[in-house]
Amino acid sequence: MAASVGLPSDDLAVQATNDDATSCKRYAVDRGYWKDEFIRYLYRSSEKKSPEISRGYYARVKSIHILVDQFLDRTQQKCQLVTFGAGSDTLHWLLWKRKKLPALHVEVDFPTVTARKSHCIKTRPVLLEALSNPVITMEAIRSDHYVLLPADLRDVKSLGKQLIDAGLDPNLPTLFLAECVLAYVEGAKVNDVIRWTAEHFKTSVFLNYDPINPFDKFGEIMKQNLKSRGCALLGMETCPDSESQVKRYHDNGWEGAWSMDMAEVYARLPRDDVARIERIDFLDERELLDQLLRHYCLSGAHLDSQQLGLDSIKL
Amino acid sequence: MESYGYALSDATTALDIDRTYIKGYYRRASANMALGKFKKALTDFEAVKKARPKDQDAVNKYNQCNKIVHQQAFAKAIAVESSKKSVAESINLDTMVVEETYEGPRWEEGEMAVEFMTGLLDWLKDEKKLHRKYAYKILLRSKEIFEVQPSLVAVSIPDSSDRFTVCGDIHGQFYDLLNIFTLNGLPSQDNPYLFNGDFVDRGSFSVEVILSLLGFKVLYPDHFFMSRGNHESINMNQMYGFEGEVRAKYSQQMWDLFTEIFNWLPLAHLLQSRVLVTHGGLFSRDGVKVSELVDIDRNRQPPEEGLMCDLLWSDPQYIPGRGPSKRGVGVQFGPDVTEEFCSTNGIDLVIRSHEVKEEGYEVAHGGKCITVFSAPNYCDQMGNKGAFITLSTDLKPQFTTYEAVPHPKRKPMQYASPLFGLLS
Repeated sequence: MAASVGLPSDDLAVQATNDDATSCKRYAVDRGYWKDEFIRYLYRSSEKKSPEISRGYYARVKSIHILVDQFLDRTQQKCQLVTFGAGSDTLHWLLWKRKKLPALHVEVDFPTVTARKSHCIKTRPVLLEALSNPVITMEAIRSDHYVLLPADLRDVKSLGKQLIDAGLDPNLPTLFLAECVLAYVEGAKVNDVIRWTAEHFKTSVFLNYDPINPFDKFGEIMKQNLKSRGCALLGMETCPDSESQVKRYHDNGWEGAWSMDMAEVYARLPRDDVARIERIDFLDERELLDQLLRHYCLSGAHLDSQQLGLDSIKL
Repeated sequence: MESYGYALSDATTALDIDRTYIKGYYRRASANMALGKFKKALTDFEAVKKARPKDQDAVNKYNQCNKIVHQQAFAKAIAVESSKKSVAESINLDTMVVEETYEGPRWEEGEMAVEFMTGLLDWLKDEKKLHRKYAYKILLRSKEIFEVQPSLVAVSIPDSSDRFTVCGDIHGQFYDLLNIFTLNGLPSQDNPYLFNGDFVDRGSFSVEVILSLLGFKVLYPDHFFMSRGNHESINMNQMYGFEGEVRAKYSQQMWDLFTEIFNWLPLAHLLQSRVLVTHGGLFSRDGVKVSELVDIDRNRQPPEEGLMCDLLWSDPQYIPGRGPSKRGVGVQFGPDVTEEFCSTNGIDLVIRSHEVKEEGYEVAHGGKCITVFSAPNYCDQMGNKGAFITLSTDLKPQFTTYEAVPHPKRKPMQYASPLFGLLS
């Protein structure tokens, strides 16, 4: 099942990245970096993480939430959300709590991951109560506004069909979210997904968070560390910097693409909240954070056939 | 003088008979106040306040008492540090038994032998643990050495050697420390060393590093020097791994002893009266004399400002003058500050550490302020080189740089290593 291009990559290792991310998010939430009353139902409390890790995740989560909110506001929630590689993400429940759900939210991930999430949701009333008329199977969930979809991003034909079967309406404005997912998939297949979404959803936004700048010393070490975990950043080699991130969107049918590294994102987050989180854990070496932030980016693009002003969705 | 004790028992008896006897509560509370039992008094004043909410006197008394209770709690909290009994006094080496089966280095009678240290380095390299008895012995002995030293230690390059090596931050990177000894030779009377703080935290082998360094201090007290870094403090050790590592490998008690030893580490060294070596850097004000540094009362946690704080926390900046530290503690000092300090004190050079540098070192302030950082590929992430400085009797610095060496796969203490950075 491992992809054949470049370094070998183990699907299970990629799926385990969800655990790592959620573990870091859980710790940050427990420390008070942001509020998420649902993450504890999806992931046990975890060991201490160093301050730069918590701050980095704060920047990632906060920026994505801000942009999702902008999209929901601009479309007055008459829209759809698709989260690729959703893992243990709690966004749906956070939106539900704030009464800001889109008309439909589809979460996509490998069957082993969706199976775990499905089981979690089924057995935890706090999560279950957010779903209306849920039909829950081993690996999938259908409900009025939420679908948990087991699928493989690398098979875009099948993925596309499943997304439409799940109830996605190409006429509704749709936000596609890929938080640290695309980098694990080989370049050609990522292009397929980006192109498919552009071809079928003419009023939409695509957002991705991914590692970049793999060619410096930090990047070398990053790749080595990952290699020893059986995980290869197949997609990163083809899209290693802001320019190529933007170009990939434009080459595959999107418009108005932008890309900024997380240092820039961090600088654009609301200052008073950043000041608040910087007081939580004292960071002894700022350069560690800066270096991390420079090696990840947030990128996006849009298509706006209904002229909703989706180009304004930016930090 | 009223017999408060009797008043107390009278009131209590009355209250036993009649729980609603408000005067009783009042009397008992007053008696307790007079006896200094403020917490107890507070409970009774609260009862009076509840029963007589409109009674201004009752409310006032309650508020007064409450204030005192809070003040006392605060005073107790800040007094804990100075009045705590030394952990060192409570450790009895004689009662510690070393099992027959222990195959590691031993130090029983007499002075520490060189073979103990060489054996220790090999033992630790194989990820084995030094027996706690010998660990405690090293700690206790090193504490005795440090606590009689001034806060600024004057060092001369011994006649027996022709050089002196200064190393910067190690941060628990034990295998890189071993590499320094491979490149530059083991410490000895002919090969003196100064380690300039931040021995622990972040790296996974902080215990091994600190035991080795303190061991060499015990072995060569006049040829091996250690200076305190900002990471030799409770807050940093709790956040960045050292406390967790000591608790996991040894015990809470040993961690307590480490905090005492760190409190006694000197804050700076002056080599041949001409080179100042300290972890952070120079000061928030002009006119600081080296003699002031000698007398700093250092047996404490680093304060948030002042000379001791600056020594452990400040950073050089390229532009003249001073600026607020980007770290939020200490100050940033420009080339003019270095120049002023050096000329005031007849000093040629300031060597400091505290900041990671890509090449392991950086020369700034026209050659008068040098940063040396000895932990390569810091945090398994930064890809930087490490460096150390060798000074011969002419005190001209020579730099040796090196890359990181492999180490056993061990995630940093208490931190799961996320797959990498912010990935996944």
